[in-house]
Amino acid sequence: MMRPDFFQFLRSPLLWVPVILAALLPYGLSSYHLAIGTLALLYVSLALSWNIVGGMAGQISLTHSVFVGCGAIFASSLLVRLGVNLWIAMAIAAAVSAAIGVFIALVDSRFRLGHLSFALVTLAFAEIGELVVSGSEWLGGASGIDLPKDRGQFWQFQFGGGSGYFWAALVLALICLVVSQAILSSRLGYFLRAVRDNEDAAQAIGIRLFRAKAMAMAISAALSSVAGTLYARYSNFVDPSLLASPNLTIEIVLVATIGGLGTPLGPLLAALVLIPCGELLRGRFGGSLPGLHFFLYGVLIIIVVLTSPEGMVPRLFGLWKRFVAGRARSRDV
Amino acid sequence: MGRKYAVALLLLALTLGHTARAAEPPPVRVGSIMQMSGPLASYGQEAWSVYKYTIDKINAEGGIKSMGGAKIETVLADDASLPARAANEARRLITDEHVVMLASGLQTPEMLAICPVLDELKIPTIAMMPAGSVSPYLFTLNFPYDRGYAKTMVDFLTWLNKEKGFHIKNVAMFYSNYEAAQKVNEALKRRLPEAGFNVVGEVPMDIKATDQTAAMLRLRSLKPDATAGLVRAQEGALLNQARYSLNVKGVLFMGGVGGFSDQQLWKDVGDQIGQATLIRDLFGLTVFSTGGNNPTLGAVIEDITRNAHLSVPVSANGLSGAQAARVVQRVLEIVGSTDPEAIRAAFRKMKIPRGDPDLLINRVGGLEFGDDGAAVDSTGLIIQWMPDHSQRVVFPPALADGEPRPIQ
Repeated sequence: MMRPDFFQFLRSPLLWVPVILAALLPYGLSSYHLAIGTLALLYVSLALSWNIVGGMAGQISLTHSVFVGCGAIFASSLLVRLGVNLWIAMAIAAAVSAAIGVFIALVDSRFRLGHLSFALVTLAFAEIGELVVSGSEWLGGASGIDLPKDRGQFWQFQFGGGSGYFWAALVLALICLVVSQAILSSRLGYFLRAVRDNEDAAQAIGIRLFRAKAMAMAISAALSSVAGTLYARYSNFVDPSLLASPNLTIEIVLVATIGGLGTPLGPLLAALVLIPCGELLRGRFGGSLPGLHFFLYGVLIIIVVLTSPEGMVPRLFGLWKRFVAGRARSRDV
Repeated sequence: MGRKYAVALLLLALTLGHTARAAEPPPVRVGSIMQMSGPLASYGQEAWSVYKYTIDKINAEGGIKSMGGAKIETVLADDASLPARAANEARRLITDEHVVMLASGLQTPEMLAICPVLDELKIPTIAMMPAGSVSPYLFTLNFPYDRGYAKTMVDFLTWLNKEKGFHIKNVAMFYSNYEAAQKVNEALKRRLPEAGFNVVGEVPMDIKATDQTAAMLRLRSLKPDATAGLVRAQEGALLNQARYSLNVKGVLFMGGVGGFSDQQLWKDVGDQIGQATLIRDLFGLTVFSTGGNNPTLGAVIEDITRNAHLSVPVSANGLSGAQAARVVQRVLEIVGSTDPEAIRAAFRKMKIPRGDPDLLINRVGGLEFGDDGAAVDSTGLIIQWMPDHSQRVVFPPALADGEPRPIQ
């Protein structure tokens, strides 16, 4: 059962106007800027997916590279080695990812892992995933997988060039956003927030911990996996050092954390700002000041951690509310 | 009156100067994607420094003659050692910076990532490091995995047995567990038995490990006569430290590239371990070497060392940068225009024969590109280290300036 605010959200022009404007971008952007836009939208999907577990349920999962890798590498292997249609391969990979997610939730529930232990266990899963990929010839090993050329055949999961992939990434980001909002507005969202704030209290009031965590993990894993498949098809080449590496998860966690956890807006806006900034900074200064974007990223993280540990977006909202309240007070006086 | 003449002369000089500048042909914009930051930054930075130095030298010597002395303008992009970012930077250089060709570092995964962009935007590229090409627009200075790396290693072991009286029968695959080594391994597993060797086992080295003692113990248990495989510089240092501490003797260590032939090894292992391991029972495969009987190379290395202000001694990475710059010059001289399709065709026509001062890679057949985008002659060099940290090429015999030392 959804709260009415979910349907309000679906009807809101604040949702559809930006989406429609974004959908028009391919008509005005250069091929390079469109590629940056696509990358940013893929990170929006990844950050929103991770936020379901990391933000809403408060479980710092470092295993999401396994799900992204499953969607990218396993699905690509099904296509290249067995000739499976990539749409079907994507669905299989998403189901496998969800199953792995449920298994991790089971381990967590069975052993009542604390936050730190959960993070370490999920990091171990991520490392195992990377080792499995680099050691398996069927999955392309450390060399990766070169996908067949995109000929614009939609039924083969080919979107025919920069604009097509931008729109596909936009649709996926929108799905992730709607799913996140739906969870927030449902009983599951309440359960997850209760689990995040106090697990023992949540259990005491009758929330079934395993069920709530497993659902969150399964949805998050499946969405991450789909983003992985799209990322692989878009790149035309599956790079295991990116898509199966725990570093990817760290990047997603950083984006979501800088934006602000718990609600979808933080990860969404952070990905839309940070990823293009990083790319444009490297493009502009990479030749003269290599590594500047890493440096600025580091500085930004330090500033956010010191000044607004809750994240940039909640902080900005807080400042905005204070500003509006201050103006209202001065008007009353 | 005198003042009037002076003003007239000044105006004339300004006009002539302006006309001369106007007659100067527009520069040719050549983009470069290098690993300037991230884990592979040391490779990219060295290759870029020497590449840029060589391009500046070409410009100072009069630029591209067939284009009226047009200068080459370099545009550098950093891919942060990430393949996906390399593809994005390729797109930016081509669409926003309007480069007519690329001369880039690019390891194999980066090459695989940018090839779809090159195919889409149809821009020719000379790459320094990838083992092969999957695009008709990309040409590489490095060896293909099979007919380059694997074949050279197997030919060398065969030559040692036949010509130098070695008795090598059992070979273990000893390699860093990363993408290029896995590919070379596949080829070695096929070629070694074909050449009459027994493959006694495989010892992949974990590329995240900080100690390779366990791998060395496993290798020793296989009792091989020799090893073969690609080893990165990091694992090269660790394997020689393990060799030293376990006092492994009687095994001929043979492989490439960084882990056996990189000058950095001496710094990483230290002189004591280096003298006990690098100059004993070790042969390294490499693309470029400061050794060998290439008379022009010595002068080039001296010039780079003296004038390019590198923070490290010139190594294979730097020389690949210099060679790429000379290839850029050659193809532009052939084509005489900035049409990318014509430049691509010029790559097929270009040939730098042995003995040409622009040929920095030591290959009997010189440098020309085959249908697969790699050099037609892709025979590697096998070097051995000398106590003074210099290299001697021992194979192929036509390029050798030293004799292989027997197993101690």
